Amino acid sequence: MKGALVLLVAVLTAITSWASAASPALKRLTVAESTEVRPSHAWALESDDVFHLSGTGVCEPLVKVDFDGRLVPNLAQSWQRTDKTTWQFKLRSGVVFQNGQPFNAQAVITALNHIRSVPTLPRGFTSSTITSLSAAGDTAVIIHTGAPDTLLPNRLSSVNTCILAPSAYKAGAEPSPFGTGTGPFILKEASQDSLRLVKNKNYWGGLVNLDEVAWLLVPDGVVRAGMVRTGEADIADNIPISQVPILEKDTRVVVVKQLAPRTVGLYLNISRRPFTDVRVRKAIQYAIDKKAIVATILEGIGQPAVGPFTPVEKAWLNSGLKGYPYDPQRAKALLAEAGYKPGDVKFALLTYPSRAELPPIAEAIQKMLKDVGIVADLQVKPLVDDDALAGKFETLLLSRGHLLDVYDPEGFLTADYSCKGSYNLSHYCNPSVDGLLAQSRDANAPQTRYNLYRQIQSIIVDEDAVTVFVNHSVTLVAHSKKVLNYRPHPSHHYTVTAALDITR
Amino acid sequence: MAALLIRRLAFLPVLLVFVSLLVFFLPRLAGVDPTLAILHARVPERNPDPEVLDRIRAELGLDRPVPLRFLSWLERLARGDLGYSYVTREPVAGLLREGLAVTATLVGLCLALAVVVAVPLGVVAAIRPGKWLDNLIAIGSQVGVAVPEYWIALLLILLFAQRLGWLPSAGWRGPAYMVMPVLTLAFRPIAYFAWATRAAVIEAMRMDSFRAARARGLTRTRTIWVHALRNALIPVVTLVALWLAGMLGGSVIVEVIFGIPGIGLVLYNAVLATDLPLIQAGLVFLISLAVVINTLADLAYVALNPAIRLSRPQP
Amino acid sequence: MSRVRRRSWHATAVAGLGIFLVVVAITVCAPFLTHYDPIDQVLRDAFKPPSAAHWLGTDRLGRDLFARIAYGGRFPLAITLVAVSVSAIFGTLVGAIVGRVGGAVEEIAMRLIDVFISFPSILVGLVIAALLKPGFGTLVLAITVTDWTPFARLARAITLEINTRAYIEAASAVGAPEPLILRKHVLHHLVGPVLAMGFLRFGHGLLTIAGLSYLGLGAQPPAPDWGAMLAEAQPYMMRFPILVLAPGLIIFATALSVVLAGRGLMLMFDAPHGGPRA
Repeated sequence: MKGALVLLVAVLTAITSWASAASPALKRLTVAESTEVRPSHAWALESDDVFHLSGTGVCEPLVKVDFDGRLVPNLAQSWQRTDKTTWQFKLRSGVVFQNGQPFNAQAVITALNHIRSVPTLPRGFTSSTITSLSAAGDTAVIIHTGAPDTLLPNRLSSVNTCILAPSAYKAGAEPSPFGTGTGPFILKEASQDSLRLVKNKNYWGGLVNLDEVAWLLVPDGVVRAGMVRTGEADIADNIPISQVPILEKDTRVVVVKQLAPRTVGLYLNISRRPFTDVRVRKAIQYAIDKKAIVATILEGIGQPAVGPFTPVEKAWLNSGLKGYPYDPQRAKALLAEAGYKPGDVKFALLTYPSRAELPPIAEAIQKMLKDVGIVADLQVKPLVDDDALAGKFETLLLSRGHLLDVYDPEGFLTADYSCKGSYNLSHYCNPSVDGLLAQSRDANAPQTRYNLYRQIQSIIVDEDAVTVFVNHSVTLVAHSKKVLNYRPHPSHHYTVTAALDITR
Repeated sequence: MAALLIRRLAFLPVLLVFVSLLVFFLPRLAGVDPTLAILHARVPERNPDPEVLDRIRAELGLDRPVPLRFLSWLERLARGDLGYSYVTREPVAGLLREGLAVTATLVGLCLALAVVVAVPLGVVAAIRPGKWLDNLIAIGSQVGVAVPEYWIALLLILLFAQRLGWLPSAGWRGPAYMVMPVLTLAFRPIAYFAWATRAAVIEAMRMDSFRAARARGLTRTRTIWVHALRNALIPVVTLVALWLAGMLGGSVIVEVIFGIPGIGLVLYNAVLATDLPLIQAGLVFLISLAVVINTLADLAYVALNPAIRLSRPQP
Repeated sequence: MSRVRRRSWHATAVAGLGIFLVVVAITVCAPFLTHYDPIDQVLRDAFKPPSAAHWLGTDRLGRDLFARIAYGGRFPLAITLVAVSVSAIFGTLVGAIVGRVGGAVEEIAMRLIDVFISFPSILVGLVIAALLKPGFGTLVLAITVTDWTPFARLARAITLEINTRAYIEAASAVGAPEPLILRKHVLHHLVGPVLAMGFLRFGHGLLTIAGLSYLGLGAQPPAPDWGAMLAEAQPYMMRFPILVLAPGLIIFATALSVVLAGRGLMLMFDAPHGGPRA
């Protein structure tokens, strides 16, 4: 009898331990992600929808900006510029699409042809950026550019150019990202407020730690912050500054702060009086106490800015800029010198509410300007770039990311500060800047380019005082202590990676 | 009765066309250029490339004269083709349907709660008019009408989500997410329904049939609950129907605060993004729905009233 | 029993009016109640708790909260007053005229009113305020578009009742012109109920305006505004609840006071509530 009981217990133990070994608890991680608009069931790769695909590790581009800000091979193993307008990209071997289709030159050409043919091209691309694509065998792609372009590899690190399997692209419809990427995670389901992803067991980049990821779309930053505190989410992206003191008091939560390539600036419409006078522009610069703004409104999270680029961007930052330290007396003197009495200078100060810190910063600036005799009429409304671009504004407080298109400031400098720039809100035109930019496009060595950018910064900030750069923003991410191997990406492209893990 | 029905219903299509006209021209009156709106919606910082603008214009048929566009829009509406959102490029009809399903759940739960709470309160108030319970309910109903729903929403979130952590602060992912929004929205209907029930019950108590029942020996309380309430329910039910119509679009602030993907939030986001097809189709759809519900409720009220009027109320 | 009822309603109507007058007094006399400028920022004094220096503390830009509340009522109250007045005048005239004229005109007008009364007012207000530039006029329009209809219904109902009175029929028979009949016999019956309705609609209008301000469509910064103050305070409400309690409380108190006054007046004037649309 006793023997039978022992046998029974032994058998049951064996069965249960076999069963639990056969199905260990799944490692599941939940991310609360910010979203202005929910991505549609149809995915426009040229729009900001794609950040949800790259952030979740579904879709990968040929080239990658790594977590230290360097350009590294991704789906392309190497690249070479064979002549002024031709590049050859060698593709990595061992990559396979999640639906089993082979990753080869033809697949890459199909994907890139799609992104070239959409009605509104992604940032960093014009209709002549790439003029033709051809295959050199199965493992290499030849790309012809319209004009000599040293930055083609940078442009192909843009997540808008990420590569999906050929069957994802159907004529007349948006591409389907379900099971058609190359990345560590496979998109299984998408609903109006969440995405569900599972591990890609055949990922070329190696072992993927997590089994499942839930990517929740939560537009409200305060709510996202709350979700990490309650455990509803393991990672909360883009936390508002107002929530940081609460999160930092919580011992189960880690707040990650990273200086972002994003600067808040007061853009002046230089084509209009009184901004045509550089003394007025410099007066405005001296009137603003950037340290106080960062210390109080931003609660110390951020850095006062001198020029557009942050201390993290050491490669091309001009750290020798003089800038404009807070000096209201000097501001008043400059205005007087330009012939304006207190109250003479009046203009509208525009800003928009979708970035929470902008309205209070604008209010503070309004008051600081009032203290030196400038009357600014504040208007807060949703941003309409078109009005701004058409010149229908006087000043605009804007949060501007300068590495959004390619991980190189050329796109930003050209768009914002060249005479014919597509985002030249200031209506600024200085031929020296245009000349330096043209030189930089011709330069082959990055160092040469970066030195030219430094000269441009000097002109824009110290000589012409085009834009009042107020502060550099900080990317704020909160995650529970259970999350392992999280690293914030400099361009915020990749959140969920193969290395990301969670303790049970 | 049939004549009344026909007259009311005949007007409906005319009214709907009138509403469509207003809605169609509103953005144009406001000086919104659809092409720029699309461009702005698709790529936040875009190239003001004239070639791109022309392509978009052609793609959407925006280069045709205005009256033609209105008529073709109307024709497509009638067929059920509500166009495509500028922002997400999904069919508008689908977006509206999804939103409506969510809002209908929210509003349905809210009105059910309101009826369950308010009707008994109204009856109790009617049983002893003028006494402290009646006065309490009266004051409660004034308070309910005057309370700002956005303030209540914030206070509930502050207490139950942020301080206590019992409920999630926003979203729509399960029953726990429904508690606070339903409570917030229920304040005003409870206040109005309780007051209306009280008035209707008092009215019903003045009827011959009520006295007849009392004369038959039933207790006052029982007669009220059984008899008067039955008659009083008719105006209350029509009131509920009217509130349903109003709340389908009127829940927008609550949906915004709690992040509920209902039709109010869909339209709010559409307005912020100047997503014209969605705004226009959505408004026409909601207003039409409200008009139809209102009309049917009114007709039902009139139709059912004669049953009450059979016994004259005492002077 | 009805006398007891009347007296108690007098009390609430008076209480309501009293509170409302206090609120109006605070907004009008703000400069005498506080020496602080509601838009004056002192950044380093941000988020101070209530003290002798700042009765309600300060907001995120160091502005005195009591001053912001006191001055912050001017914009919403003024807009609501104008909007309700315009609605009342327009709606009452339409209702009275339609009630006298009758026939097809009345039929068409009533159907139109059916449509407008079905508009969810906050949504329509939102669309109008967002598409046109936010401002005083836009907000008045946003409210008036739907708010004239309850007045029209009320005026028509009362006019229909008066129509049956002998002296009206007599005046018509004698050939008196319509505008004269309206002016001499109809309008003064309307004043009381319309005033009562006006109070009720004021409460509803104020809540809508404050709601639109909360969504950012009201007074533009840095001007103080109760609804906008709620939105500004929201991210900080866990750390500093008073920033959300104060503006909400005053909106609520003001709306409650006019609702009490309106309900009381409604009963005093024995106005027909007319069916389920109270």
